[in-house]
Amino acid sequence: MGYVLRIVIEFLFIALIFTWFFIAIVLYVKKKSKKSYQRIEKVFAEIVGLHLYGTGTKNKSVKGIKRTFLAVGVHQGNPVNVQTVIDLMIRTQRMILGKNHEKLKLLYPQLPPYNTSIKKVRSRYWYNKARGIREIYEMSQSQYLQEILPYRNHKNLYVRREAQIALVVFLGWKSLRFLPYVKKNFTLWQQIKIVEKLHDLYPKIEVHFLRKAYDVDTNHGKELLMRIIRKFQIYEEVDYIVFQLAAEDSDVRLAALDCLSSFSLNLSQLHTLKSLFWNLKNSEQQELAVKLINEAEPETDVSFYIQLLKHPNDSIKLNSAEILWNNGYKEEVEQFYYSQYQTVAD
Amino acid sequence: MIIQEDAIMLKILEYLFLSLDFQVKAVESFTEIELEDQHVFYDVVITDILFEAISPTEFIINLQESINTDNIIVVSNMGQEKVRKNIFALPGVKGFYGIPFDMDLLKQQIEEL
Repeated sequence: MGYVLRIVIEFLFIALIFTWFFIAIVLYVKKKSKKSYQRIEKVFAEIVGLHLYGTGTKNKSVKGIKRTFLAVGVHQGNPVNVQTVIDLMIRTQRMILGKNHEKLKLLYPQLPPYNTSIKKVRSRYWYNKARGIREIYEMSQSQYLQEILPYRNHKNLYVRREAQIALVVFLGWKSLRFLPYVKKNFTLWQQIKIVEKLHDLYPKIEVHFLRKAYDVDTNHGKELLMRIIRKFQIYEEVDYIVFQLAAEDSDVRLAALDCLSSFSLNLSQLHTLKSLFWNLKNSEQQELAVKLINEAEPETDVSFYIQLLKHPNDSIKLNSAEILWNNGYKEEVEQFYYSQYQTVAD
Repeated sequence: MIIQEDAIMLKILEYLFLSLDFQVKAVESFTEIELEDQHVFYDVVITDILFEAISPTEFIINLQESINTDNIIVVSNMGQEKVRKNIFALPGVKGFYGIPFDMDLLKQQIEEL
């Protein structure tokens, strides 16, 4: 009995020592990699700082930059360090807007990520592809645009998404003319990302490219266009959103209502909205529409709201009663509700 | 005086000030500030407000107690409207830049000071 116990204790003791050993190694490796990260960060910061605000004499040549990078271990044989530089580049690019953003664009093609990104794009796996495309557009390596272009219809959602964002980053408003050819759908997140990129990088509105994209027949394409119109507050194009209320797809209609709430409508738009009201089959959407109509109209359209009083949805009924009541049409409301009592009494 | 935790932002700002012919002291955190720094008058202090174990407003108040300056400009990742309002309510705070921002605006403001 004692013999077995001893073996067990010995075994546990050895396991414990191995664990300690392992922890020590991990700590050591982590410390070392952290140190090298900080070293690269420092060198990189120096280069970016000099590039943006350096005085003439201290500015480094491309060869000098390469040599300094080599000194801290950034070379082709060490993909981890190269990846670190790429991450730093993306981080920096994101911190800065305006003229310096453009200046960084000039610097980045000179830095040596050794085609890592484009190699990733050529990789067989979708996650590598998507990551590579993202790195390329974040670092504005526009020389690879032709190679990225075909991926906009890729079968994988993420590859497709990054490729489309890349198109927007490189081509701006012009990229919208590709929209009718994008047959696969894209997510809400992607739409937001595209709109944001467009807004950050190409603040000048080019409506003619937008109009060219109106042929788009996918639901997500339509939603994207509406979100662009809203983000840039393009008043001339509000009609497009209003007409999307006639769409078959419930999501498109919802997006249209959502976008319309940021605009004040004119009379003809209001008229279209009212005529399309009964096309909104979903009562939640109808409720939103009632709110919009009420905000937009200069005078209360009594007959329209009286019609709504007979709506099967209670919330819409109450809303329209409230609107009528607040605008001084108490009698109409009272009459409607009394008439109900009468039918019950009968 | 520049206080920024992010090494890259710190360096860029340092070079920005050097190009404007300032004498610059760049540190990564509040703890690196030395005793003798407290006797110097700084034209401008650029600082982050996101530090461990201290709230943004408290940090600015602490900073004002220990450093001689009239102009504090905040450059931070923390750009929410609420924080911005709170910070601006403090005396001596002349600017607030939420990352990402356009450095030319900052440069312009410094030149006007």
